[in-house]
Amino acid sequence: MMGKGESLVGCMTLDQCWTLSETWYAGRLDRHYQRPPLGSFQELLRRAGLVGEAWSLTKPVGIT
Amino acid sequence: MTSNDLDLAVRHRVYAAMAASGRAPTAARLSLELGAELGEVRTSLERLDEGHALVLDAVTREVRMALPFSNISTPYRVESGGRGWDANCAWDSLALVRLLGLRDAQVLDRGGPGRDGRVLTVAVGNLAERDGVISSARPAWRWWEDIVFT
Repeated sequence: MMGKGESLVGCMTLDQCWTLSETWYAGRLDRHYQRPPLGSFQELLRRAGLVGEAWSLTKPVGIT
Repeated sequence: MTSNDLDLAVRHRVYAAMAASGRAPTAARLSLELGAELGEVRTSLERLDEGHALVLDAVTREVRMALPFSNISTPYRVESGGRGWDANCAWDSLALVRLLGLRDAQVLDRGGPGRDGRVLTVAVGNLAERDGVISSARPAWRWWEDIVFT
């Protein structure tokens, strides 16, 4: 959803999304389009300032 | 052609078609274009779906998503130079601009129940508007439980 912040699980600013999109997608439309390994995407999220349980790609410990 | 080669070829064809036309080829079309048996193409699509490289429709098992592209009309659309593409969500609509390397584009959110529509502008490679947020209904580790819902 865009434009109106709501109390949902994870929110990112447009700035964060724009930055993240560049590092994740720019230049990837080629024959060898590959999804980067899970760990590197987590690092991209962290660099975009997206940290915490909402942005963890692995299930937090203690959640069943 | 090995399974891996076929999977790469299928994925490439799907992404190339979506970039060119906004729509993915059917399995039958892929079979013709690649000179591969339809059954092999369908099996390849299932492998790509299982690996989260593509998302297949739950019923038809045709391509539903080639992230960030959507193969169906959605409230999220990117338009540039007289062409248009559907995205799966707000995040994917910005990602689509990056993926295609669009310098100038309009990013449209047509809104929905309880949500106003909005237009964002990309000009000379930069996003003009930076106010607002994009939110997710699920934590990241649950996105792929149902990526269509996410």
